[in-house]
Amino acid sequence: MPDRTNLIYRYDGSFDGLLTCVFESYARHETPDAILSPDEEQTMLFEARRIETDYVKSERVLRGVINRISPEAADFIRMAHLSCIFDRDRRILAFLKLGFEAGPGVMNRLADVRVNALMSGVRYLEREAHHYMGFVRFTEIDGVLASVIQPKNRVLPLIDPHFSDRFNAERFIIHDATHRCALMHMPGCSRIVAMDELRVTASSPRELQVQALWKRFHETIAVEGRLNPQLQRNNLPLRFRPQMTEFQPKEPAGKEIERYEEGAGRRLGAV
Amino acid sequence: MTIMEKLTILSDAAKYDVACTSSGVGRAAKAGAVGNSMACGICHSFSADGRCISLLKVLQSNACVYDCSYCVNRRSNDTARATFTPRELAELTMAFYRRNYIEGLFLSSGVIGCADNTMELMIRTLSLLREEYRFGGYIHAKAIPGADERLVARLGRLADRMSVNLELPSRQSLQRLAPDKRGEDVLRPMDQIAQGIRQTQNELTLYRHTPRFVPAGQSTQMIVGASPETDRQILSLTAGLYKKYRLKRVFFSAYMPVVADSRLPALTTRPPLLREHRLYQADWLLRFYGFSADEILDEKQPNFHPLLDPKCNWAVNHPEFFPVEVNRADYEALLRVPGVGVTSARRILQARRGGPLSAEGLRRLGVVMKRAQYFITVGGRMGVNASLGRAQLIGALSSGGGMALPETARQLSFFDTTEEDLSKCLTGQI
Repeated sequence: MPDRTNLIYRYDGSFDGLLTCVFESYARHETPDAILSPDEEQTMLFEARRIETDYVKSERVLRGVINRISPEAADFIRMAHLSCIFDRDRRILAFLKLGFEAGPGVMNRLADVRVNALMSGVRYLEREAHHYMGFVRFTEIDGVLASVIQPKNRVLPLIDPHFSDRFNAERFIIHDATHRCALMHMPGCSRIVAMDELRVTASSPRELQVQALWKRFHETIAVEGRLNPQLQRNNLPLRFRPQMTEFQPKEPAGKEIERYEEGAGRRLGAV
Repeated sequence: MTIMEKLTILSDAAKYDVACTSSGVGRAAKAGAVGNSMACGICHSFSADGRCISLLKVLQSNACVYDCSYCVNRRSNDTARATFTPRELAELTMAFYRRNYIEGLFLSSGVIGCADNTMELMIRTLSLLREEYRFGGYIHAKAIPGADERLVARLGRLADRMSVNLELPSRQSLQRLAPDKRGEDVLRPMDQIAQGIRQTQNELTLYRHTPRFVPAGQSTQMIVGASPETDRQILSLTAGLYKKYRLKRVFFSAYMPVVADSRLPALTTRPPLLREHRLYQADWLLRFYGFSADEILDEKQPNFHPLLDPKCNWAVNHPEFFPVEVNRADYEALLRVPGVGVTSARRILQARRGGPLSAEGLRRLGVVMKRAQYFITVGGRMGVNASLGRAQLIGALSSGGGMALPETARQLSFFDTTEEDLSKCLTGQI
């Protein structure tokens, strides 16, 4: 009997919620045309079924994926779920259906559109996370390093190990304005929490001075004979720049900073 | 002088150095200390010239006693001079690093007093960073030619990567343009560093905790277009350097006229960016694609084709090697196909375990069919344009083209080339 279609699933957006959707799809013999999390708009007029997250069901699906496909496939869908590709959750369901038929070999089927679409989604996520390892800009406020980013994918779980290792003795916070959550780190622990907004403005003279020095360096290091804004834009797309110190307009107080520096002598002071 | 002024002068003086990467060593942070390092390297920003900013690239000092004709810091050039104290530079590095502006420090220097004196100053900066500030990020340091061996050894224990600039692609050019530097002075530290790296690797197989020496390897750079060497000479030299000194990278810097000198191309010369680009393409073929320097350029063709990249150029000249069957060919053969790179070749190997590949599937794997179509068969079938003549093929593959032309048609283009244009293009005077 063919699966029922013309149906939409709505769930709470969590990974366990998605796995519950997978469970229900098998249990009810139906293949939804879309699986939507709360932040996605419904564009189809089909009937919507609300799927309540059930940890027993999600655990069963996860064990099924690990045992009948492979542990790599389980890691893979967990990553894919963080990505922002179009129609993500339905594609994950389609991948799992293929995987339950084909077994562990499914991870090699790179040219199959059901696998390939998710793979490129995961690559996009990983590439964006790698970008943010470089493009995150911290501003020091009373000893805490604070940063705001606006990623398309949910990159915080991917950049957490990197920053928590690099700045392990610091207190820092990286706010993801797109997904309204934040990575908070204190020596010895870090976690991702929901957070609607974080405003970061430099106020201390030393912070303004360091920012001015960085802007100057960024400006000076370009070789005039090779100016190439197109290449710069390919490598560093405009969408990243609003949060990056060196692309902020120069402080009108620039003169004051230099005077401050004169006053403080040659020393930068304690960093 | 303020830090702002010093930073401006000393980063301005360092900007022509191109070897600015932060790759080659993976290292976790020590608990309580600042900084780690990622083997793949991280770009933190991009400057207006489109190049990656990964490290704080500055000179310790630009008060140089040498008078190398091509260098902006030459003694006889009338320019502002400054010197960072080790403390100033260490504090600046930490302030930038903590805010995630940079991946670490790239430290070079003009020769202040003598080579040994300069190296001692650099060593003081790095010791402050590593010991007092417990800095675990990336450090790239230049060895100053002519410095004492013990100083080179000490610097190598503090830095992740070291480099000695070859400056020019032949000894004669070096003698003519940089009379204060001797070829031996450049090669001796390079050799010492190479031996030091080899020795550490041997020791590491015996003892787990041996102090690391230049763990991210050694690199060098040379200026292209300030002296008369052919591309072939430069490329064979590069291949030789990789082999003899086991360098991680060789960097090429298109000559940028900064000072007038009768021994150099005129100040109005445009930097030969295309030539630099072709050298990097060929460098990649040497390091990742299993090509040898002789395969890329030979006596008949000592300079790069202005319209074809070196890999397409090789493919066009070796029709006997093609077509390659993507469902059977081994990794090495796949790598020779224009439009197939290291990543897509690996993906092809993995994907065909799951079943035969189609042309559409290849596209999904990231193969650039625009170029690859002329050189492959998919399940025994050729692409529609597969039987082009050589001239048509060149037209189809050249940077401007993409459209196959009938053999009799003359290709009209901006780059309609005569021999004269060709040489102009290579020297950058387009």
